[in-house]
Amino acid sequence: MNKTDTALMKLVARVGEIGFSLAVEHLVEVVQLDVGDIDATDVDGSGPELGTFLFRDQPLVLVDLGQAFVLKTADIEAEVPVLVMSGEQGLWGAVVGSVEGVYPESSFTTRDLPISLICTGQKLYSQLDIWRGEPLVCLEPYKIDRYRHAGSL
Amino acid sequence: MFASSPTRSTGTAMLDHSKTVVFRLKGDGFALPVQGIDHIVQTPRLFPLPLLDEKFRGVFIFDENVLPLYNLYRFLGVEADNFSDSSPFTILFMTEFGKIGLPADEVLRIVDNSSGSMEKVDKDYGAIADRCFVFAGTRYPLLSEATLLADLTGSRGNIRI
Repeated sequence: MNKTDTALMKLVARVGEIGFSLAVEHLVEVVQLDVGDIDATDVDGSGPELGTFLFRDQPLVLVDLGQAFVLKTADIEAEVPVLVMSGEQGLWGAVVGSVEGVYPESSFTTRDLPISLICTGQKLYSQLDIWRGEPLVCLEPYKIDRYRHAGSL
Repeated sequence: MFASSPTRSTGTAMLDHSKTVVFRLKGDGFALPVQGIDHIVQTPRLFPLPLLDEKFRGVFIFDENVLPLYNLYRFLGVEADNFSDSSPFTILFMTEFGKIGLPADEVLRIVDNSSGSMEKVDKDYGAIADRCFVFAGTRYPLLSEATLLADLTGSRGNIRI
């Protein structure tokens, strides 16, 4: 698949009861991570960061996407799917509940978040994808990583 | 009973500024100016969104757009036990911030304004209504674009009586 093709695909993942979409151009890889591979040494548990994990021999920050979006999720099981994505300061990983698949962009209808929802203060996402009759939150990995670095998650 | 009824044309028809819709929600009655109503539909499937303010119950899809459902229940002291507890009708109301869905258990009637009168609102509804539409002896807090936007933005404008 060439670069042009991958830019026209979106991945669908779920965290709790919320569906998320991610343009594949922002996705580096989906990995299955064993809980034992997470280094939680410097984690105080106050935020969504779970620790670090090794990806291609490099330690990357691992974020619980459910916690970042304040969602009710089950405890992390033995193995979890992780989206490795581009961020403000390099790659980072986000734990999700499940990955549904990758689909052509043409099957999504992108809409800006209604202004009435923005004016009440939420800033972590600004667009929704209507996919198969359901609104999915468009993941913005750079924005989420920026807020994480700012300590705003 | 109203279902999937557009109350104003998107063409060149004149907007009706002289009528009010009265509807019920959990036993309480409310009023809305007809001029602001876009559609009244059977409530579509509601979806949750993360970080949704308590002022909204969820979102729904209508005409390939995602619209929020305003949480009118919170003014009635009604706690939603579960997300699927929705009213059978949704009134799509136009505001400067786009269309907003308002839940309704029953849409009672469209009333000519000359058949009723306006009065001060009870203090309990001061947050979302600055007047009551009085019809057939019943007082219906009158929702409007101004009061809804004031609630959404957390601002308090001048209260007209």
